[in-house]
Amino acid sequence: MPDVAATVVGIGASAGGLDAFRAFFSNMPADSGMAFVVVLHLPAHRRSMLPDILQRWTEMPVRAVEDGDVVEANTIYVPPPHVGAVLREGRLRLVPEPPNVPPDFRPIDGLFDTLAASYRDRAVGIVLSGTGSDGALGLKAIRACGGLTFAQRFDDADGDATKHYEDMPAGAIATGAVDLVVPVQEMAGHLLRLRGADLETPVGDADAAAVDALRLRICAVLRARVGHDFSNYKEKTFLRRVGRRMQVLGIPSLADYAQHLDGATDEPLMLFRDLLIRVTSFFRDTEAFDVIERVVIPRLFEGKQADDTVRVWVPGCSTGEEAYSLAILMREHMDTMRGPPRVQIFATDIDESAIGTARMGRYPSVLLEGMPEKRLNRFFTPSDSGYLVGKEIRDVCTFSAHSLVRDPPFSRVHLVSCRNLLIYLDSELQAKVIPTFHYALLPHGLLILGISESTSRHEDLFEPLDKTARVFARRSVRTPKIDLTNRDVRRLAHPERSAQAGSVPLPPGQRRETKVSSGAPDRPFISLRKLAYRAETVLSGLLGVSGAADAAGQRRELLATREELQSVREEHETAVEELRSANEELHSVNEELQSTNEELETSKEEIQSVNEELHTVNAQLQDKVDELDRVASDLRNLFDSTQIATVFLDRYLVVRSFTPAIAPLYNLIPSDVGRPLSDIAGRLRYDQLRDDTAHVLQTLAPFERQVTTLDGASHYILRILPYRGSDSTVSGTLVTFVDVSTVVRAERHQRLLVDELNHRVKNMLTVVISLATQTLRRSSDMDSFAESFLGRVHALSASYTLLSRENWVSIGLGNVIAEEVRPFVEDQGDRISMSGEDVQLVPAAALAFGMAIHELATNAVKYGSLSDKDGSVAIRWRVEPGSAGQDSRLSLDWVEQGGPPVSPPRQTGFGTMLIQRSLSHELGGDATMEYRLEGLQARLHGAMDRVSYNHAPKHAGV
Amino acid sequence: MPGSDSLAGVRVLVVEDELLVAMLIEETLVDHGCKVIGPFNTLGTALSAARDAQADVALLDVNLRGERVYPVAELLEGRRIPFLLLSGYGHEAVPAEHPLWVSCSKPFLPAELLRAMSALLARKPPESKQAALS
Repeated sequence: MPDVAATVVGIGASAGGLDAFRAFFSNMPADSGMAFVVVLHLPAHRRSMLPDILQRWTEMPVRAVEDGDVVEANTIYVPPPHVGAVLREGRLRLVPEPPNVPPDFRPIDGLFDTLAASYRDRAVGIVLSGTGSDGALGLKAIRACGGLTFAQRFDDADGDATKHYEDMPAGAIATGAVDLVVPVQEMAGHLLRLRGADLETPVGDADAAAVDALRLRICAVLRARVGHDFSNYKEKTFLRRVGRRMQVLGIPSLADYAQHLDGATDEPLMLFRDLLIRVTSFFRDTEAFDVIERVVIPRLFEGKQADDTVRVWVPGCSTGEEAYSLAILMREHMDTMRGPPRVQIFATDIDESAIGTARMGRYPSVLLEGMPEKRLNRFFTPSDSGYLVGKEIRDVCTFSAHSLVRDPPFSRVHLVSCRNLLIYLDSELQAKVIPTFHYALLPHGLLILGISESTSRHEDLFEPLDKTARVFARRSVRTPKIDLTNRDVRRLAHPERSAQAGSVPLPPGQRRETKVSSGAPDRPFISLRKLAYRAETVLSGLLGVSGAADAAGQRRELLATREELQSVREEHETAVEELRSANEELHSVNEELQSTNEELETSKEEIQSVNEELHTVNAQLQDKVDELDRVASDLRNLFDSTQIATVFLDRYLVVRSFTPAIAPLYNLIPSDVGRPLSDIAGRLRYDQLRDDTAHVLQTLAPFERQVTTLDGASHYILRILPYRGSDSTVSGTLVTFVDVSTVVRAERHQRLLVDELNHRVKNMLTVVISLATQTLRRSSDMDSFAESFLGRVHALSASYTLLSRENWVSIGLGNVIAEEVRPFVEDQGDRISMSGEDVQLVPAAALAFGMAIHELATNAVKYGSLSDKDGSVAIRWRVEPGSAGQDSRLSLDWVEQGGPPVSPPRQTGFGTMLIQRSLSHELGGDATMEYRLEGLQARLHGAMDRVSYNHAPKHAGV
Repeated sequence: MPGSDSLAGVRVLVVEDELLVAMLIEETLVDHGCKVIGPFNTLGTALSAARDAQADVALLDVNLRGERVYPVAELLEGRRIPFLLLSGYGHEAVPAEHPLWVSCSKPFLPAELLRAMSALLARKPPESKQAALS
């Protein structure tokens, strides 16, 4: 059962986000106990692969968010494309992207805002690589609720610069709401260290005196490094802030922190920001706004008519809350007037990303907490990711990037509201800025500063109006000379224009220049100078003649002077007229610039999204390429291992690829790919390739034929198949060769065997016919024919049986004899004796001896020693070794005795003839029959080299 | 028997390795007054007989203990002695390169053998055989 996550980490990125995610999740263990909600701010137009891609880098489950998901620990949530995710009542909710996604769509802020509201100090916000400023306000919201905030730091040393998009982290850092700025690889470590920690725990050193000493030391470092004295800050608040920094940095003791603060380059600034955290919510410092509402604003509108304009300058406006707050108050005041004047608020800041955010006018709901319902309803429109400032307020405010120090100041303004900016400036700069305000303000104009700020050394320029709210009135004295040497004088006349023109983002490093000022607008400026010179001449003339006595002369002089003055005045009026028209012209130029700017912003967003899409597509392609590599390697292995020779040909017989098994058939080497197969020498008796492939390409049906190698040793089934491409069009042929040599050989062998069998059967039948014919000729009646014939056939069959049992290889002589005499000795086995050495007979000898024994036994039963009860037969055999002139031979004696008296037959019987001829004809031997009185004695001889395999003829050559 | 007289005195070279078959052929021929040369049961003896023997006709068993009798046949053809191939292989006993050779397939009855031999002798006239061969 997965745990519900205690800590939820929101991660936002856009361009370059994939790399950052990899670095982040590769370092994050799977059991951190935290949940991660990842938002890649990309208007991707295709199915997002993000979950799949993330899954490669982490063992945590990566889930596409579904509406109503409970946030579980150790899980990564990714909202589907075109959908934003927010957290409400502990569940993830999907917020579909509005159609025609507006350029100010901010899914990261939306998530962070709701994350902050739901998880308060258990929320973590991380802003990684990306363009634009999404996430900055969200981090501010998280920070305002006590959560932890990280932004990515880019080390130029590692990685290529092309994948770094610093805008988003930089924008977040500029809000001052970021706790840690670290490389993304280190974030996991910090997160694990800080999860569950109570960041708001005050420092707990026991010794109060020591704590105070360290506090003062820290203040001293701050004073030295950032030029601001915090020693009068509330001790508790101060130490709580310090404590947070210590926790974030993992520094256990205050003393160590003081040490660290002194040594580290950026820590004083981080602490400073932390102390002054510009969680500039609306109507920050209720008391001050109270005074502004009651005192300042009525005074601004005093005596203003409908065609007048109230001009307000808010330098250091940050993300715009202050300016909008003022606008709201002024708007509310205007409601009480009959013909309210026009209001123009120029809100400037040096930080362009903050200005971008301000211009957007979209704020996380957390930052609007505490705003009265009435104001919220009237001036804000709720949106998916917080609230949108209403049009009537937005139209009043003009935001522009502008440096208080470097750029020419605004002029003729009624109110300068510059709260909590001076504290960032050292006293030298402060000394420059206060006169600038004096210059900018109209006589009796008002200046509002922050709680801890003052006009300090410039009491002569401003008088305090309300000390608690830090409201000052401009004294009507000459503005001390402002050092404008660093400023662009050409923009002096109308800083509003330059301010607005300045909002066009320019590549870093390029100095902001405005070219539109050439031409008409220059002329009035020059005329003014001329006028001033002439006025001076006239005045000095007047002074110069004051001592002269001639009254008439004086009158004349005065008349001339009056005329002169008159013409100067006329010229002045013309100049003013020209200035006015120039001013209008500039206004229209400004509007054009503004719309161009907006177009550029849109284009930039589009390019960014296209770029990101390309990144995703690239990752997807990379996946595909990997897959293709795998498949190709599988195929290569298959090719290499398959025994089936295969060639891929195109329509013109050009070899596209082949398997190594083709080697015995075609002498193909890899460089032959691209050559026609018909050009390559083959080892096959086959020249119809062209016709056969043409046939296959025409019919699209597979084709088969058997082919033989030139040497006739191997046989192949050639199979030609149409090769179908991925679009199933036939673009060539696939030619395979399957080796069927063994099959062909087996077929031939089989045919041979069948032939042999035929031959033998027919031979045997011929033998049987001749047996029958010859037996018939010598038989007196059918009974004797049947007896002799069947006996002989049986004898033959007995020998054949033996031979086939022994696979026609060889057979022992003893076995042959035993088999042949068996039918005669069933009940008188002791009357026949056999003895002799083991002699293995070849089939022909076995048949000849078998036949001979059969004839002898038949004769003995009919006429010889086995015809009565007392006779016996002794069968003896031996191998007679060869001697000079005589090869070795097998000698077998058949000796009958004890039977009835024997007399030689009148003529040679068929049996005797068969015995004699078979021994001589088949075995190169002979047979002698001796008819003795006591019984027949037969002696059979066979040449050993004919009788047996293993008796090579000896003395053959002698 | 009608053909008996015509075969009397004909000299027949017999090559047959199967004893009983050889005995049958021999007996049949002798019964009809032929003079039997052989029978020979190996290729070697058959070859020397074919080279020297004064025969009118020959009966050749194709398979001699696994060897083919064709060299003997070629020799006889050279000597213009007609011959009859005896074989269990049927028509395949006649090699493709000698389509004119005549065969008698086993098993045969003695009468069949005699008829085939007579037919062979009947077309014997040397001049016509020469013409057929050339």
